[in-house]
Amino acid sequence: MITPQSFLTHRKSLHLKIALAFVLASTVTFVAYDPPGGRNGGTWVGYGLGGVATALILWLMWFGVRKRVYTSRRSTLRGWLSAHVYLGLTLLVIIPLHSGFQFGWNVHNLAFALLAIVVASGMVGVALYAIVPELMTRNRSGERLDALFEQIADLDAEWRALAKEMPDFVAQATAIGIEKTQIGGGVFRQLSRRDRRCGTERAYQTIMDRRNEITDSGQRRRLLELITRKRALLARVRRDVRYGAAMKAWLLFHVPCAFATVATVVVHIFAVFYYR
Amino acid sequence: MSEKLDIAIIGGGPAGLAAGIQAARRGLRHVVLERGEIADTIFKYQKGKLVMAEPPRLRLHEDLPMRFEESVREDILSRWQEDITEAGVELRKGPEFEVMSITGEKGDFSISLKNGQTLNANAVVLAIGLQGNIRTFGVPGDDMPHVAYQLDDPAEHVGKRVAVVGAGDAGIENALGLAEHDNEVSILNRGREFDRAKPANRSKMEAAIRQGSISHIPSCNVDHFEENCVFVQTENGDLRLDTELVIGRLGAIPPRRFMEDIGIQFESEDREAVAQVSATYESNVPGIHLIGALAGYPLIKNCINQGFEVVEFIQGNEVVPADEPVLREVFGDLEGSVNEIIERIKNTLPLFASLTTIQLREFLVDAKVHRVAAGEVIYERNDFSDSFYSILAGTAAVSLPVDDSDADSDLKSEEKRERIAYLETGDFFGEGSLMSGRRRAGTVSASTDCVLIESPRYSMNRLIKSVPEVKRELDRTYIRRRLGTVFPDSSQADRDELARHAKIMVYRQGEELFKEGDAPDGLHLIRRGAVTISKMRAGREVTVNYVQAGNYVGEVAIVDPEARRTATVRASVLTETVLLPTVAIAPFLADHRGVRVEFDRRREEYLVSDVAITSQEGAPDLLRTLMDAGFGEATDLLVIDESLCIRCDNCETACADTHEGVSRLDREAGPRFANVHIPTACRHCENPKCMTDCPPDALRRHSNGEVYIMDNCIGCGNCADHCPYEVIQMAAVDEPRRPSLLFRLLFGMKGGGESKTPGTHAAKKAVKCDLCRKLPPPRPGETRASCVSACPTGAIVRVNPRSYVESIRGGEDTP
Amino acid sequence: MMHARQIAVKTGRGGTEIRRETRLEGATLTIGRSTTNRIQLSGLGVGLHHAEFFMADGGVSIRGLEGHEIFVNGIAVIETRLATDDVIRIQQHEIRLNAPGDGLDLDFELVELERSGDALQELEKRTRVGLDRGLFTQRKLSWLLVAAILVAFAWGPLFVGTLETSWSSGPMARAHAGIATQCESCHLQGFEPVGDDACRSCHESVGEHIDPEHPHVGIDCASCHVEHNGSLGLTDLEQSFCVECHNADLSPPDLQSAEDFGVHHPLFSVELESPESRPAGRFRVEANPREAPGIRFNHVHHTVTGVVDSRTGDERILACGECHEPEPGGKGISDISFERHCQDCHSLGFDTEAGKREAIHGDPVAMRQSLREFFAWQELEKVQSARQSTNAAPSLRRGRPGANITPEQRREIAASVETLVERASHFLMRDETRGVCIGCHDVLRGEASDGGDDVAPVTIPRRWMTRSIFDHRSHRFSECTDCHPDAADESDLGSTDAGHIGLPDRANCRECHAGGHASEPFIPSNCVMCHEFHILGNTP
Repeated sequence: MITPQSFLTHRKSLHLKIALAFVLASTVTFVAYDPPGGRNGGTWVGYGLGGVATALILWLMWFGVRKRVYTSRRSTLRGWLSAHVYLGLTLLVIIPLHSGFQFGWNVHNLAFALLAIVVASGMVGVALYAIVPELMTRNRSGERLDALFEQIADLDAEWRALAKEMPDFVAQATAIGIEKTQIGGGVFRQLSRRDRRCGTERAYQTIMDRRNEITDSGQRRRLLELITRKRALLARVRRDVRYGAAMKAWLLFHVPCAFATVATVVVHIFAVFYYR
Repeated sequence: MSEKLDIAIIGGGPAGLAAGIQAARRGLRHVVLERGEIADTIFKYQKGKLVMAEPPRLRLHEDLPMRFEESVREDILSRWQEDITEAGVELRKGPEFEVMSITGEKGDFSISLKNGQTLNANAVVLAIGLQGNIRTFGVPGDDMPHVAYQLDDPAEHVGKRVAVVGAGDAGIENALGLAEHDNEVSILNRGREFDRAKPANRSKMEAAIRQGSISHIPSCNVDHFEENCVFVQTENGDLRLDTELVIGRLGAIPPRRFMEDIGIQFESEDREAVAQVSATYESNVPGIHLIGALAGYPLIKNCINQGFEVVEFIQGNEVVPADEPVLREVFGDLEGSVNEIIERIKNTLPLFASLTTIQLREFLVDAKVHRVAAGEVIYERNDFSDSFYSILAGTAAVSLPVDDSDADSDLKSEEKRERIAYLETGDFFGEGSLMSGRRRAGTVSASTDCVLIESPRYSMNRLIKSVPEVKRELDRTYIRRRLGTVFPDSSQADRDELARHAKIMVYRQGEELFKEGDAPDGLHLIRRGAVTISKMRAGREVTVNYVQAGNYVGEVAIVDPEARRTATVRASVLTETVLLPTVAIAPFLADHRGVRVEFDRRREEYLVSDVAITSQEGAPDLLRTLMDAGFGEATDLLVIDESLCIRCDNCETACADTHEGVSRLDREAGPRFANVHIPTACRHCENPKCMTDCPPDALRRHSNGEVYIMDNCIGCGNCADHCPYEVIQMAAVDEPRRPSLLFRLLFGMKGGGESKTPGTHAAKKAVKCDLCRKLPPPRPGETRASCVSACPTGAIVRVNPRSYVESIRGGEDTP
Repeated sequence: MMHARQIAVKTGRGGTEIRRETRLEGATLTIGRSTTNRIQLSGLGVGLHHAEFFMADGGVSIRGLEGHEIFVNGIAVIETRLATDDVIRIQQHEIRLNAPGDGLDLDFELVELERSGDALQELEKRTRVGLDRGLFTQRKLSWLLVAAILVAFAWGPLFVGTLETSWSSGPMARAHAGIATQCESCHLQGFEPVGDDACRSCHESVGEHIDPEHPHVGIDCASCHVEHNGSLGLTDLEQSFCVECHNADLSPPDLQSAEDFGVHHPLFSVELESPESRPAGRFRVEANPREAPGIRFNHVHHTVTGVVDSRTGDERILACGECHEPEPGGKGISDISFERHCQDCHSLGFDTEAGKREAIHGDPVAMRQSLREFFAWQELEKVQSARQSTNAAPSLRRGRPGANITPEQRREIAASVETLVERASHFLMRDETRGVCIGCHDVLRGEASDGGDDVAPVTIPRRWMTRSIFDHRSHRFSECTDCHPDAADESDLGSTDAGHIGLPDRANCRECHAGGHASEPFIPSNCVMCHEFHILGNTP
């Protein structure tokens, strides 16, 4: 039986075991080798660990390429992601070993700082991937996003039709409610739970405040029900947008910092060999 | 005033035009009647559409001055126009030349036209295709200029008052399209609801009415038309609507009705049945000849050839059939002339004895002749092939597993005992997979040197539809052989007795085979399709199992004559069963203790697993969702676990990237239950409906099971229309030039599947999932499909329905 | 009653203009959003009952209802009389008045200037989902960051001084703190290791380890002195570096191969300038080489058996440190000085008429000269005192030297001085029983430049083990005799004469020191612990 499995348990967490073995081997090498000048990046073990870490970083970057090579069948992307996650985590140990736990305010340490951001954001990503899909599924409760959009649009059209025969303040609120309601927006808008400038909210407030001015009780009831439904739908859609954005937003740290890390590593290697 | 014609050709399509040209060349008094445009179907294609010349190996008669080769619509239409002008064809074109009725007999037919004219002809050639007559209002004024029966482009009308009559899909789509272009649209509905329409159209229409963009006039009938207005009767009295345009979408009268009015008989009630014709294309009404799609040959080349031939036949001339060289090629090194071989086939194979020579020739064009050496395997058990074999010479051995209860088992090692049957010259085999669409049940090998005729599924299906005797013979053989597999330890005489009572039953999707609590009517051996089994639990119907073709249902209750059905069995797709009625099976069971014991064992097993599934929360509902999504006929189902899916759409991108930039998968679409989501992607059905009507036979099933479309697709869209799961799309497949991966990475240039805007200037073709068959084979245990291998989280899997259901029933972790 | 013709003008989606004519009549013609109006205007901004046309004074006027203003030819009004070609604006609608034709009071075109579209499309237009827009995209941010980093840390340090230290891989040694931000003072050339030139520009006088012309050099300062490695150490003490050469025959012939002090190290040798009966050279400590230092000294007497203070007659036992004082800094031991260490007990005294006097030490010729001067003074004094017994004025008692001494007197004095010198000199240098000089020194009779006795030269070497450094200070918590047991050994092995070389051998050191990788209880001891790399004087 093929049961979907999280990438974390790919092939019985093979890559976790590889990563642990790698960390162990590096640590043993590091401890065993104690040059009189102290353990640092300039020793042979330092060079060795640095070389391995550089190769590992480049390999981790290759994930971006592998992701786009859709026709490869020698491996699955899931396996790659699993390896990417576990081996990426080892860098948090390998790099300090490489430097002999020497830290300072310099470009060399900037590379490590950036890398730490990359790994940290990666961990956030893994956490999001573990949590958000379930939340998203529950929030959608089986409906497609465009179906929700259609429902909102339908409500808008219905609202417009309803407001046509209602007092002017309702009409104006409706115009705001329909035309000033925006879904999503910038990164932060998408990630935030509620939209303060949301036209529907403003319209809702106005109408709630002045609902006694609507004399036709049938109309009033329909209007309130309609807005309430739209608000509920908007909340659902915005939650969906938020979840979707959250699952991508961490990459805004992860990927640029990864490239920055590579650039810094290049500078690091250049500087180290330029000023030997 | 009436003319006396030699031939009246009705229909100005490729067949009719060819007949007209040949008649003109022969100097016959003739007329070609066409109520629309010449080659109306091609005429209505979009501009610049490529028209294919299929099948490639069929040639046109050399004497016929009608040109046809693969080209764009415009070229073909203008060439044919030239050809008929040159040949001097008498073409009567326009709605007034619609044929209303044909009466009379050979040598004296009267053809009355819509314009009141009557034509007299010695012979009639019907080449009207399958499109049928558009139904008109039939009320005063329905020919006024503001009344139309079709809408080519809603954008041609802007700001008009339009009334659309008809609440079917066509009417709704027209009304919505017109409303979108600022027209004031009213939809006139005979009923109150839009229940004939597709759910999507229905909800769109209801929304439009709610929002006031379309006004709905329910329960109304059109009374008559006057200038720029229509009068309708409604529940609240008569109503006058000022309109600038009335569009009637009243459906079409199928040509079958027209043909039956003339007296032409059809072989079956099946909607797809065709009328039988003789070797000279003559129908059962002497003097009326049927050619083209009407006679079951929708390809343009066939049509043109038949147009030529039918005129020659009417003249009493011999024609060397156009398929002569093709058949020679098919027969290869068989001894004798083509006619001799055909004669031999007729004499050797009783199944084809009832065919006319023309039917047999047509049938054989698609066939292949194999010489198989003794010992060679023809196909293996569990292959997905579905062609049909007839033994022209030699003996073949069929080995079947004795335990048939696990017909779908993937594991060949599970075969415990084998039963060998021998087939002699004149026998046939492969009919099981042909009918069920399922894998081969047994392995067939040649026990002596054999000469075999292999016929593809589609030509067999056509034969079955047009020659009932073939179907009857296949059914008989199927029942005999199936009983042999189900009751291997019984005597031939006992089985023959059972077979005598056996009935072939057909159930539409959703139809019940039997209901819980019914008195048992017998044992159902499922031949094709699949059924769901449900039980009432706490006042609610709960789906507990599904059973595919190759198995049987109904055995639980027939053991005990007093018993009642313990479950409801419903066809989840179109299902055929062999019903062994109680009257026959009860005495049989009494005589065969072994079978009884087996039935008892199965009853107990079901009892346990049925309880297991109903005790699991959601499992029956999941099963129900899966069934609704076409699980019953799937061989391979794409399932997404939405609790793992990160909505990155890499599956779609990978699919598009693997397939010339067009994704065959819609991740967002498709039904969901809890976290199980079945995206819109091909299920590779057992009996693929898409394959039912592919003119160039471009849809194929590989022996590994995948259903794929070959490059000779003509883009007709039949498959897309037939697919109930909307997984086939018509797309312009033209892979855009894509920048190198490096450029895409660095500068974000999109390419391949990432652009999602494939080129549009190429001809549209049908595209669907082919399980990435062009990619190299994967490592064992892994899938070849890009969508699965490109999923970073492993949320998407392809499942084998049977083992998946087993896991749900068994309470294993479900996605 | 009012008769009007309305021509509604709309622009369709395809851009085509749609005109639809409608006849209207009534006492007034109301305009508004509600369907109850004769002239309905879409748009939620339009009032439910926005305005109305009415007849007044045979012409058509318009007035706003429910407080709505109307714009007529761009001017906001509540009520106004209308004329041909007036344009009335209500929200997105324009009413353009034409000249009314036959039987009409009002003829106008109603133009909708903009229109609201399909609700779904509008909603989608207002929807922005996904993160691949604006600056916040992965690719743009990546490029920006990469560019920023390359500018700041690849280009910057080469051309902007303040960014230079960002390349520093770690804190500089304290000794270099003064030049910590001046990279170019050491890193003279890109992609070239820091050369000795850079070091020698400050460290001019550091000795070379071997001849700079030596073909096997390949050693530069940076081989041992690793910078940017913390503020403390600067020297890489890795002994494998030494062993690389010294464990092979590449070394100069007089150097023996060594690998590790604990494992493979040559036996200790001493450099002897005046060994007994052999030419000067290097000798194994274990072979107990003897020296002829030209002095007699019995350590055992001084440290164990006891010696007699020649001044007081007391018996004394000396501690090592009473004579062997550490040098300033404590690393080495100061030379023994007669005046400081011996003279207290070993008096150079001799008796004179004027009492006990002490001879000077070190130079017999000078000693005799001083004796001569003393005795001359003593004799002259006698002459003077004899004269003083006459009654001369005190101021005249001291006369000019020689002025009043007769030549006989002078001859007498000279003769007695010589005799006295002779006698004292004999006493000091030849009297075996007293053994003032002769107790420690060999006296060479008559060999001095003045013809008198001389003392054989004393040749105590400054250091015996010239190729290593021994730090007495770091061993100060050990007893002297831990390493120099002979000095206090009463047995036959004791250091009873000065020819004995009381230096520890290899085994002695190995009791504590056990090579570069020693572990407890031994002390890890690599090459540079004892051997100076920079050989002083080997200045290039």
